[in-house]
Amino acid sequence: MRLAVALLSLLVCVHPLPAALDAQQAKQLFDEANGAFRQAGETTDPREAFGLYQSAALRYERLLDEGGIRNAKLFYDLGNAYFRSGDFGRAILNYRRAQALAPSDSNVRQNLEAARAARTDRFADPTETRVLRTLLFWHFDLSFGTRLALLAVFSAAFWCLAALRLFRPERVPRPALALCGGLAAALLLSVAFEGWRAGDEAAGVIVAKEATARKGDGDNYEPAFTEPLHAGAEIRVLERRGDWSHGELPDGRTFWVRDRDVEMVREAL
Amino acid sequence: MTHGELESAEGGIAHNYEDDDALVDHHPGLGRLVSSPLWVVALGGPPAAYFGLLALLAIRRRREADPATVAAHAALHELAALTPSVEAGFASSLLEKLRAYLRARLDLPPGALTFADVEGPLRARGVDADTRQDLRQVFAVCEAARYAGGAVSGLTPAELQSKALESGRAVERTLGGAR
Repeated sequence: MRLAVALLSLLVCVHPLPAALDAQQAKQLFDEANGAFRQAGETTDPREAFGLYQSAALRYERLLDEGGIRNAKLFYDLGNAYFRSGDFGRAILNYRRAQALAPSDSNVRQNLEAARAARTDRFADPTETRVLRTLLFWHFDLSFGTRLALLAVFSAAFWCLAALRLFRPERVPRPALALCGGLAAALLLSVAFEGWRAGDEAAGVIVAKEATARKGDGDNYEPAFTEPLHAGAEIRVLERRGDWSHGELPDGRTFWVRDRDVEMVREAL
Repeated sequence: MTHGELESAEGGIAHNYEDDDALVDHHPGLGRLVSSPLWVVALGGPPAAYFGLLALLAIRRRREADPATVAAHAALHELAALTPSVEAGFASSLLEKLRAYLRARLDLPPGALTFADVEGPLRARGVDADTRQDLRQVFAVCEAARYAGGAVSGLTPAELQSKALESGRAVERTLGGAR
């Protein structure tokens, strides 16, 4: 017993538990991370640049872990550090987290698309998604900010016409009111759906360089695909069983991977 | 070198955020969708203005539909706003406001009202005996004051106003909801 206590004390001395950062320490760490990121961009030595991006990522991670700060810009900066160091899995993961906190940030959207373009795995959209993309083109083709602006315009037009109708019903044709109301409702649904999707509890990202997807929750099951999944594949986690996660790809195919190969978007939020 | 429209290059990532705003703790949720108060005003203002307008119109229509109630409330309000005074005109002003209230509330034709004119309709509509007795006293004191050159006897001007107001409110409680 004494030995256990002594060992535990020694362990605590060698690895002190992370203490919450105060504002000054957080600022200093943030400046260091930004400095390393900038320096990495200026060096011509790729290995040195890689090390500096790793160092920046480590500091941003500390701000999140020890500082307890949940901020879209911080997740975004961390995503950038991972992107530059070639870790597209963690880049996508952190851009998704940034997007959950700030869905209207166009830089987050742009960088997330760049990271998605750089990852190895490609998944075809299921037929129903392609149909939906055509039918609900405004939802898929317009940026969040544009949809929000259009929502404000059509909503204002609808309420103004409705107010005018209270005094001069004959001056406001029903089709005009219905058109503005319909468009405002469609845009409101689109924006609300975006918010719900950003907060999807089941969203996960493969962060391992390669993860063998299996047909069941054990190494004795056969691989689910001819190739392993690669970092950056975005999945939905349907179930967790032991050390395994039951995942679903965007095209609807399901598989099992080890928990350590996946990180949940919402886990750090 | 050719001259033409400058095209945006595709791909690549945008700059880091280095402002201290990155160290402010945020929480996820639908509230984050609209990050600026300007958006809240742009999205919430028009419906709020519409429903405000609708409420004002409903109030106006209700008033137009029941002018007697509006007139009764206005008379009661004016009665409450009188300043108690020992001057000659106070008792007759107070009586005039009380008459205006009762005339509006009981749908009586214009003209000078005495307590005898209102007692029957008040009893018929369920106003209790105590309230009628208080009203009788107010009428009596005010009418006596008129013949006594404005001097109020038996009650102070403040007590007289308070009694008139309490009686009016008691009538309102009985008749106001019965319309």
